[in-house]
Amino acid sequence: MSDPAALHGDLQERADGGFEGWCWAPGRPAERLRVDLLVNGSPAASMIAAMFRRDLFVRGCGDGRHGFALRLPEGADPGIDECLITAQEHRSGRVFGQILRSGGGRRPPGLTRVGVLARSAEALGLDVAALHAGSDRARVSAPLRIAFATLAARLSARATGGATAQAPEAAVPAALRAGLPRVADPLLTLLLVAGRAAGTLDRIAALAPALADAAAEILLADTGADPATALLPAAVPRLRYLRDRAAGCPAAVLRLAAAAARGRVLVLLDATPAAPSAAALLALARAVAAAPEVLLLATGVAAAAPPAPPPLPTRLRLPAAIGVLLGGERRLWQALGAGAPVRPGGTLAACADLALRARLLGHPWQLVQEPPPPARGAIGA
Amino acid sequence: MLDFTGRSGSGEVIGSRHAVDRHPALACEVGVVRLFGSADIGTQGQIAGWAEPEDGHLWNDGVEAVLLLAVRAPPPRLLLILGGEPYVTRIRPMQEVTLFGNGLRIGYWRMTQRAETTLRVPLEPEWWLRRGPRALLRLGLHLPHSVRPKDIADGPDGRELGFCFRTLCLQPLADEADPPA
Repeated sequence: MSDPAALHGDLQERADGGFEGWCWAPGRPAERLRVDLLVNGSPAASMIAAMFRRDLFVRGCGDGRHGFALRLPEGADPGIDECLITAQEHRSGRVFGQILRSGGGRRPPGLTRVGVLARSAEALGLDVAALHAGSDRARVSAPLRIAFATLAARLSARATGGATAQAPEAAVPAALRAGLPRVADPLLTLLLVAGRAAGTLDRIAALAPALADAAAEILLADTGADPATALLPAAVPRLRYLRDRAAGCPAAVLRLAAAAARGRVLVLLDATPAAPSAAALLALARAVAAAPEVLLLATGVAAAAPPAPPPLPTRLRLPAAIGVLLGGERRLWQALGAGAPVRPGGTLAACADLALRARLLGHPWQLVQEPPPPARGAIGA
Repeated sequence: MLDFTGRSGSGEVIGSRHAVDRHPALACEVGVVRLFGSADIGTQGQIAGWAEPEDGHLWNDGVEAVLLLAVRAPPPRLLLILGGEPYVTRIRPMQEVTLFGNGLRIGYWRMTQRAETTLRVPLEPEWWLRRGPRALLRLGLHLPHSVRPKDIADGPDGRELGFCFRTLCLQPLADEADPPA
């Protein structure tokens, strides 16, 4: 039975500046939900999500009439200003999509920074250190926190001359500035839970070369650990990005990500900066396709690199290190995630929770063993 | 107990001698985009002159169509935005829409392109009819160039079509502000 509180949805920006997406509650499958769009936290537009979308129908989201498409009304559209667009279901207030709109690149970078500074100035009366650390959540709205933390990171980088606090878009490798490859019908969805923005960017850069050959997409799940992560989708075109401000824990974000994934096979990756080959990704996809009822669980061999393999019933050996934590068929993943209470905790706790639920529901595990990563492969945070 | 739409718990419409009170109105919340068609609006508020709601749109059927809107009273100054597409063909190259609000002529449009079209008209608070917790507006649409496609060799459709309605929205309008172009 579906969780009556569960909510699935997506928000995308159209090329013409409008927005489209969908919103559906599995526990109330026939209900047409009202969607509110917020600009920097302020309500700007609302619509009943009742448009027919074939992809929703195919995926079994009710009768498929849960789409929406709208433009921000005059006066609510910030135009060339950078802003955070949030989509939430009206009744529950649950957020199901966020987009950081950069203003379409029409605004000079200097002016954008001044705009960020002006908005951040409103927060100067608050605890600056807490804002920078993202811990002053109760007192400052999320968009303001993101803007201020990003600005603080830039100023910090200038002041110290260090490269660690570099703004994400400035640190984007040239290969990524053109964007990730277009994969129309992905076989694999690689879920990546964002940590620090710089480390996340490294991971995306390592994965990018194999995406086209493996028919894979990256879905970046942001728990708000680093406010600068929210700027990555603007810096890396076609990076699918998802953030659940309301829940803010990996388990909740993973559930949303599983709902938003387009690939038939879902793989949750860790932060290992390994560069997987397309062959390794395809080997993983084949293993899942061969046993759709089985949940793949990493042994941790790659991370620990012990001198001798542990006596575990490993059945799948990958040709190269990928950094997989969990893998499985999308429907299995969604079935395991739906209806379960979301408990706070880190990514590993979320994996353990999902694996335990699989065990309780009678789904067998298959352990994944990866070769150790290359010598430089330190485990990222 | 009446809800905002004027319906009782049993679904019966509490009526009076006035025509606008005898029909269930389309209850609108200010700022919310509603979709014509079977998935959202369905047949709500459609008093006369409408075809059967279809997937994501609704055609008028005949030269007169009447839609009854309800908002929470007292209504502020609002901007009515109707989105859709006129039925314009080579043989019927033009459509006209005249809009009446509770009998008052409030808008006129002439369309010669078959393309997505937005009809915008400001609604003054005094045009609405106050009925308890809600305010009602009887929107009359006069579409004199509606035509049956089968009569102009444009398919077998026997409905008298003039405009295909897709969206409806009531947006708050600041006092003294002109409607957006």
